Amino acid sequence: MEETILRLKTDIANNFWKNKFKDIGHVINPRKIKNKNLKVLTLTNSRNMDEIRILNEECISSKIHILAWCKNSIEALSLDAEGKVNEVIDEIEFEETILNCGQHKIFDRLPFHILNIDFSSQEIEILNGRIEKELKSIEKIFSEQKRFGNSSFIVMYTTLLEQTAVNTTTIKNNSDQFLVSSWHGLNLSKSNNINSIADKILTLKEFFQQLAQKYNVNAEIEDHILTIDSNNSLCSVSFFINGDNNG
Amino acid sequence: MVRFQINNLPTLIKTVHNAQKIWRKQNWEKSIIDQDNNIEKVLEILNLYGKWKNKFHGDKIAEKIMPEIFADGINGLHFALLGLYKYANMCLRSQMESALRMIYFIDHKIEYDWWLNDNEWYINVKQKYVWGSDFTYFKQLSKIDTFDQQCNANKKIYSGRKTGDLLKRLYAQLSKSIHTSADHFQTSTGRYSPKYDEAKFQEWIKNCNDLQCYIMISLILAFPDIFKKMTSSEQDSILNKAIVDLDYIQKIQSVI
Repeated sequence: MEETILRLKTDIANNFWKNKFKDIGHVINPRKIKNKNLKVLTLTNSRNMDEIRILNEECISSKIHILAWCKNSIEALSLDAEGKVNEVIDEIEFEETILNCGQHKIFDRLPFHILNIDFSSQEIEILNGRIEKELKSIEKIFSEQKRFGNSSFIVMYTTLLEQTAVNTTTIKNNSDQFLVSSWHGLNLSKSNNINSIADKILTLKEFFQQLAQKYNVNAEIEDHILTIDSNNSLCSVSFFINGDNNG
Repeated sequence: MVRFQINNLPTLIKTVHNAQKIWRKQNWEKSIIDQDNNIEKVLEILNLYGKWKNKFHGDKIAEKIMPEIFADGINGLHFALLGLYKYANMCLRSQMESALRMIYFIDHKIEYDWWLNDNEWYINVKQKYVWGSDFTYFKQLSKIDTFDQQCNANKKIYSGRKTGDLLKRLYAQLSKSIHTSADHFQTSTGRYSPKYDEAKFQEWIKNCNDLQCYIMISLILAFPDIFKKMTSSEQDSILNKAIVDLDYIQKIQSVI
């Protein structure tokens, strides 16, 4: 499975991320053709760094502006040796760190123009509550990023959708812990445990649509799904923030 | 930027450069071909230090020293793969010292600050290490003491100087490379470039695995609450990949 995901990452990077990276580059630095110097956080691994290649090739970012997050120390060593990123953070889990380590140095590095949160690059463990926790960490880092004002940025959320049920009540409860005045709470159309990949994709889209409403931002949401087999798909959702509704 | 051009190098550097390219490639590849399973297991164990580092989040001492423990291990492996066994052993001794120092400093933060500032107070009071002159300090930690008492004489890690004391024995063995005892030379008669040596590599692997086992046991017993914060899959990895010995695993589980 891991080898398949690594292979599919190339497809997603070339056919989905690349265009989104160029779009945000154009919004942030429309007059610069070269060296747009976008600040990037990417969850990656040394076995497939296609997004870093694209960021460099398309002049969207460069080594000094890229912070790589990987899941283990051997990966960090390898990424650091490649010398294509400015800093490597090796922690066990992005989501665990984001949710439970408020003093972590990643919060000092905010804001980023591109948050490439690719959980599929982080040796996914199939566990109950995985997607729910991933989404909670996405909202956490999104809300932290929003503290820096209404500038544009993009969140790319990529994960493996498999057979494990996803609990929409947990997603709602997790999201509602991030209080925003006058927000009525997350309202997902599917209730409790969902199993089908189609329902999971619908839920992800609803989550990001309502995230935009909750935080009052202009957002464009797109997805790119690659089927692995009848039970597994690789799903990438782009959440393009183009300023807030007051700006 | 100045480009690296071999032909422009001074004569001696050019000779050394060409020689090292040959022996480095030969030793590295031969070691991997012969020992791939052993090497992969060592890497899996070394990766476990990241799990510890993550759980110590916010502890400045652990955040500084834990990456060094990992680096000593991985650099030791690099030296071993290159056939540089003497230096690979030095890395293991350094790894042991770093791990024990971290356990000590987490409970002795003022001494940690002294140590950061190169204050070698322990030498002035005729102690060899920051934690004292032997490994008995660690038996003052209650769970280590209980564990040690439960171990048979030949499996005691921290005490039983005549019959056990595996930590001390391993330390003494690794120190032979530091002090270059006669059987720990890097060279042999007529041989100047490092060569892959199956027996020496396997000896290094055994010492490395033993050391990771002792370090992991020490971390679990010194910081049982942090170990319990790990997921069951993380705990299983540490117990079954790094410690392996069922007798030790059962005793750890009963003690913590």
